[in-house]
Amino acid sequence: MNNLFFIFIFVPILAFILLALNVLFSVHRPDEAKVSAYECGFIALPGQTRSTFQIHFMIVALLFLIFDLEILLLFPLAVTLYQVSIFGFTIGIVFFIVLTIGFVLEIGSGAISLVNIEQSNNK
Amino acid sequence: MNKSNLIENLVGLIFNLADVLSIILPVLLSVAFMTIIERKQLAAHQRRVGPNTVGYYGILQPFADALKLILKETVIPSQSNKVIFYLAPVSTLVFSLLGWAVIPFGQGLVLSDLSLGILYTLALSSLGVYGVLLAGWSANSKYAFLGSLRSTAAMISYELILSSAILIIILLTGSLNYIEIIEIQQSIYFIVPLLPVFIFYFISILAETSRTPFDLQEAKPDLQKIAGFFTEHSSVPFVFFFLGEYSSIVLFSCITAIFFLGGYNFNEIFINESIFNLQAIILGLKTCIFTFFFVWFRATLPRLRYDQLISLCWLNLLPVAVAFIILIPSILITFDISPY
Amino acid sequence: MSSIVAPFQRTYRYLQRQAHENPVIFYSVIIGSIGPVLAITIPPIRERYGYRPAEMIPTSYPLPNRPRRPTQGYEDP
Repeated sequence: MNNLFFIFIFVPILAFILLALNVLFSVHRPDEAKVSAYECGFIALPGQTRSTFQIHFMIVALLFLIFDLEILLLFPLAVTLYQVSIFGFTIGIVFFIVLTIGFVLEIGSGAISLVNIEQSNNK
Repeated sequence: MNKSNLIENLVGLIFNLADVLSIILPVLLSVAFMTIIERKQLAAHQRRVGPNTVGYYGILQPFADALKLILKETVIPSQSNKVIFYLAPVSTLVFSLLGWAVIPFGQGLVLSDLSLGILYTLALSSLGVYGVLLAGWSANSKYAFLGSLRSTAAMISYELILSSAILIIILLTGSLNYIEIIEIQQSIYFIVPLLPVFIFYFISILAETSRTPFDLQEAKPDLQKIAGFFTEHSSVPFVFFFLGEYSSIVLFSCITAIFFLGGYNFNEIFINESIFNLQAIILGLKTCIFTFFFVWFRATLPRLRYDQLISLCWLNLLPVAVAFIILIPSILITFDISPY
Repeated sequence: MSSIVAPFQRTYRYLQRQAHENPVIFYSVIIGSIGPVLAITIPPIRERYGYRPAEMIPTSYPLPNRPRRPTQGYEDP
């Protein structure tokens, strides 16, 4: 068996053994106050969880998706820079300039500026 | 024939187990000692003594803590999604421990010498976000939800900087294999030509492991003292988050040592053919330098505000990273020194 | 004299202002644009001083000009 395959099996088993140890050794006496949601000093109101959140987090996630994809697309170029030489390098630079234009557009539209979003919400 | 085959398979399995245990057990021990190192070093920075009662100089403190937490009651909130609630801490621990499978501790001393080792590491560090996300979602508590949102946005933003810094390393080595990266640094450690890259790389791994200048999930007044996305987790699930966090600190220190300080490379006297070669110890010492940095920054720096955190990543670090991604291959092409 | 310098002076003042207000963006643009400029200007200068680019290391070998010999005697028993 491959060592990598074995560690993929072994580590989760280790984690579940630790969980089982806890089940074996610890007491388990839940009561109503204990299992209710955490709240500072009063009873938790229902319906406050999983509420809407700022669009800002979503935008950051979307931008991350695009940029990370673009940087990972450069990994093959980085590995074969000797073979593709000046031609591949030129293509890479053109690709990156296009990426930079998108980046400038994104900064200019204020998509990642949290302060601006808060101000525009207040208006 | 059949019986000897079975025995052969069993022996192979035992050897596999020995291989994996010889990686995982020292890692778990080092993670345990990382916690005591952090407490002792923070104490030293603030001129306190720190934990010094359990064992000599408080060395056994982490084991006492772990035993105590295993004996504690696991409280599962009634409104939570039970399966994901358990799965999130397990996945955090598993993904940070699996990263050790491709770290070379010496020439040939590696569990799995993948030729795409760096992609493996990047994939696992991306998967680490899922633990945070699932924990915040499954607990069904507004504090855990807010904490996980903040953590996730910070972690994925800084992962961009991390992968661009790694891209620059790849440009200089021309390989995705860890051992080749280490061997190519025999002439010079990459921290010398790539010092600016090292600086933003280190900032990004501080954010990636959510260490102090960036531990925003426990920063704002509404989330203070309730530990961000694992508000609802107790006992062993909490230990898993804790272990996962410290394991990824040690792992990223080790990867930094490999990328920028040449891994197990050192002067010739330490590399010999006998069984007592000191390469693993060299790597360990270099890792210790960076773990020291982690705690040092925690003792020194104040936290950023959340919008400062995001704008530091997107408006300050990312332009610098993009500039270096264009500059470094240009230099390689200009002077005809791209790696073969 | 001043009429020649004046438009450049305004550009210079603008760059100075940008370097003061957005130092990160400004110096990133400078560092990033140094790269392609280097790649365009330096190789001719190096060639003038007598540098010849090294021959590419071959990544494959030339195929022999003959029909492929069938391999025999290596089958699994």
